[in-house]
Amino acid sequence: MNGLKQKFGDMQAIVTVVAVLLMMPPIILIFNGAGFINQIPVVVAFIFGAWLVLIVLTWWLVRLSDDKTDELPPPAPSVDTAR
Amino acid sequence: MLSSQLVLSTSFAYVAFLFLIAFLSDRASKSGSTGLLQSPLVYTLSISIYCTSWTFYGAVGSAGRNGLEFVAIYLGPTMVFVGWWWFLRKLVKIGRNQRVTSIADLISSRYGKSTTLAVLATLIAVVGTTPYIALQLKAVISSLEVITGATETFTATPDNFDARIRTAFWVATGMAIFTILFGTRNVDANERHHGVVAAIAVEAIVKLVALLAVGMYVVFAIADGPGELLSNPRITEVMNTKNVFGERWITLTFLAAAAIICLPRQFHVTVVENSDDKQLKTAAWMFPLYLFLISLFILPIAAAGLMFLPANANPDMFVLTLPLANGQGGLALLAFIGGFSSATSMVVVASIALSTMVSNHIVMPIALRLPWLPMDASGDVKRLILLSRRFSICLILGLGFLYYLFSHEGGALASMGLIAFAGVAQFLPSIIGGLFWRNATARGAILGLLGGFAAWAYTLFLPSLAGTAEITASLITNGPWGIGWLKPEALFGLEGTDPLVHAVAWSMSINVILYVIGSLFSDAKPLERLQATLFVDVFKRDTGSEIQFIERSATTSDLFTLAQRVLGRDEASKIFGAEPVEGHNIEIGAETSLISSPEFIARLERRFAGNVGAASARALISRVVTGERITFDAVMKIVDEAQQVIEYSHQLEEKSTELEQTASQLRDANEQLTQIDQQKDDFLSQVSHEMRTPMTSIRSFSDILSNADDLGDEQSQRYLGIISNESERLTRLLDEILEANRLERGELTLNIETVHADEVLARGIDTCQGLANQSGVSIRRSGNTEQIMVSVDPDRLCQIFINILSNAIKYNSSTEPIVDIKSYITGGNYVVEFTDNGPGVPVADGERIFGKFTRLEASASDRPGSGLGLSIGRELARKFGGDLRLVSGPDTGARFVLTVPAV
Repeated sequence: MNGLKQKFGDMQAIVTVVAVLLMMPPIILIFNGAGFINQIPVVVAFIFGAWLVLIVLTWWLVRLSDDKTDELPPPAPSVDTAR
Repeated sequence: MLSSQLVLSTSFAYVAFLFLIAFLSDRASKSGSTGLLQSPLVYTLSISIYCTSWTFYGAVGSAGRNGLEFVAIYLGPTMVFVGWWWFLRKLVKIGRNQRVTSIADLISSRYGKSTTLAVLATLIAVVGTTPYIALQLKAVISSLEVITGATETFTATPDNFDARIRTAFWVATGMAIFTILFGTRNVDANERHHGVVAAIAVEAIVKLVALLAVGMYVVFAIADGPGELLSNPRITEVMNTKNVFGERWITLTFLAAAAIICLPRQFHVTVVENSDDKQLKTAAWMFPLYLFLISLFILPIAAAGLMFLPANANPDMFVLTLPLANGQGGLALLAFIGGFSSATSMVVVASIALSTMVSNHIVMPIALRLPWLPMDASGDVKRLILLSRRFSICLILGLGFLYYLFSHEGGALASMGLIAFAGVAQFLPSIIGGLFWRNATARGAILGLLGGFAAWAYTLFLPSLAGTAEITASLITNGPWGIGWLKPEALFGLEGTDPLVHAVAWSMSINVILYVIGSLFSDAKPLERLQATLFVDVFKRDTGSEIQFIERSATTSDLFTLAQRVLGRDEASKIFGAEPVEGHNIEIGAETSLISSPEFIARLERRFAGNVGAASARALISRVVTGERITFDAVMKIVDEAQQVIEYSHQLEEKSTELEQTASQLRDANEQLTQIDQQKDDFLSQVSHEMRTPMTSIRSFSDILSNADDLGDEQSQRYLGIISNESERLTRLLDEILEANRLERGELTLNIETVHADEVLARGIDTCQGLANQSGVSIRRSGNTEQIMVSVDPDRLCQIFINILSNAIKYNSSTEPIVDIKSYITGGNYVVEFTDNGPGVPVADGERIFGKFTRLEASASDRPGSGLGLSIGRELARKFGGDLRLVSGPDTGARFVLTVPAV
């Protein structure tokens, strides 16, 4: 169970790191002053678009982790090898 | 413009509505139906008190002045919630496990329930939040003025200053009463305020709806879609004049991320009010969504404000002035209520959180130390808590009001909020370190907090109050006593940086460095180490495992009295009625002095902690318990499991090396045994062989003597002589064997005397002289050692000489046999060399000849001797502290060297 949980943890971590990278210089500087799409500044569209994608990704991951962990059988009694 | 009567009555009606919701929710939660109240939705909405009037009014103002900069304030928290798995999940779990009541409680609890830290953290939180409260006051007052038309020109010029201060005072008073009524009606079991949470959830919806409504109106009614607004030169000019995405952007995102954890009110709604993981999982995406929605229209509103309102209009009030300017009174009223909502919810929760800290961490510890305070009545502690909280709320709002007064109404809303953010961000290192770094100590946390807070106060808080007095103004421009490099906004000559970036960089660096150094150079107390493990390894062990590790006891009646005082009679009776102690239900009120178990005491302490905080709960419990100790073994037992595994594998390694060593030792021993066994076999066969020769001759001659009658006397005599000789040889052999044996076992008694070594040698030579003459061997003696004394058994030493010498004589097959005896002194040893010119000893046999019964094959058969001589000689020499060796001598012969220490 921990392995699967850890995987979701890793995916969460990746989303977090991506979030930080996207919203920080230098990446965000690429879009700064890059003109307009349908009269909307590209940087504004980028920030709000990426923001929404992050929210959806997080929602999806939370749902996924809920589904998977619910399906799992109860954890087997752990054998404590250390003692 | 709306009439002030309408505005005020709407506000009062709204507040009454909130009360109703709080009241109904409290009643519902008391009757046990907490379903909706503890739902993830309500939890998420309560977290959105992050969006205060700063967001509602200030974000638009910030967008109007600095373009996209405001987004950073909402991206920081988004990142924290998107990464909930890594930080919030742990924080919330610890908060629930430890029944944490506030951020100060968390820090104090982590670092060994330290009262000092609790007080320090409380002070920082109170001071750090003060600008924030002032911000809300300012927002409410400005919005009130705008909506009632007190400021005609949309600007916030300080014309009617006195009137505004008066309003501020009454707003602050109103908010204090509101909060006291709301938040301190009772001391809740675990600091959860269902009523308040429900009310702020409603407020969250109101402010979102209000802002969205204004946004929609602005975008689609005033303008023709977002494109027209966002491509307008007025706003693009603002967006392009300066690069927003620089160091200030990073700093703001960092501060906002820190604030969502460290702001006392955020900590309260996120951690203290949390009841299960499901809430957090939903909030992980829903709260960022809330932030997204509330930020969506901010830039368009700012753009519209710049486009359609006079140039001197205050951007902070665009949300109100835009509908007002377009004659939308109703919408403006909704916007005002939205702003009012965001301000009141912030003030209510912040004051509740701060007053909890003040009462738990400052008032309680003081009250506990005052012996004259009559504290015996039941429920008195509870009353004291409530009273101190009400007082603290007034104090906190009072401080906010004073800051508003002395900062000359502060600057822009956003900059006031950021001062608060930077202040509370000082908690961040201690919290992150506390959750993930096992070796962090209370000393480190205290140093870090003090250093960071001092740097913040000096570089940011102080300048924000500048201008109130001549002294501070000159201090900021010229530095204290005119020392330039101490200027608060250019510390150590760091000129030209944004003041906020400057302050955050200095305060956080100082904080982190002191925290790390302080932790590295101090040792954790046992309780600290225990708490550290419970925090860092929260996912690895069950709740409350420290119960097993603190040994203490108290009488149940003492505990009951204490519980009555802290929790009130009803609650205490409930606990003591239900808790089986030592297998019995305690009769309440009965004269019982049964001893409570450590488990029960630990549960009670945890229960108290929910009311008065960990440090105070510990102090209270400590008054009645005796014999408390945390055993070192116990602490060691709960060290990290990973550490245990490492330890275990280390032990395995050690064991396997040990085993290897043992195995090799066994192998060696086995080899030795085999050798000894072999030697024993050899010895036996040698002995048999040695005894057989004389026995055979004795037998044959005695046979002849008994059977042959015709033997002449002479013949018989000769035979008897042989028999006698052979018997003598046998006896000698047996004597030697016995002696060798005794020597080996160390049973031989030596008569040690100090004698002239040369005299003993001379005696030995004399004894052998006869044999030498017989064999034609000449003995040559040289050396100048007459005066040398040795400490030996002279007879035995003489025996060694004889053994060596007789060997040298017997085995010398040379045509002109010679034995050279040379004595000398070297290195404090008396040395005698016996050199012969016989056949010598092959190199391979160099050591073998000192074995028992060793006689070299070539010469063995025809020479008498037991073969024990050299073996005994060496043993004896060693007993005297010397040695007997065979060294390579001249061309052929053998050279034996005997050394004995000289005296």
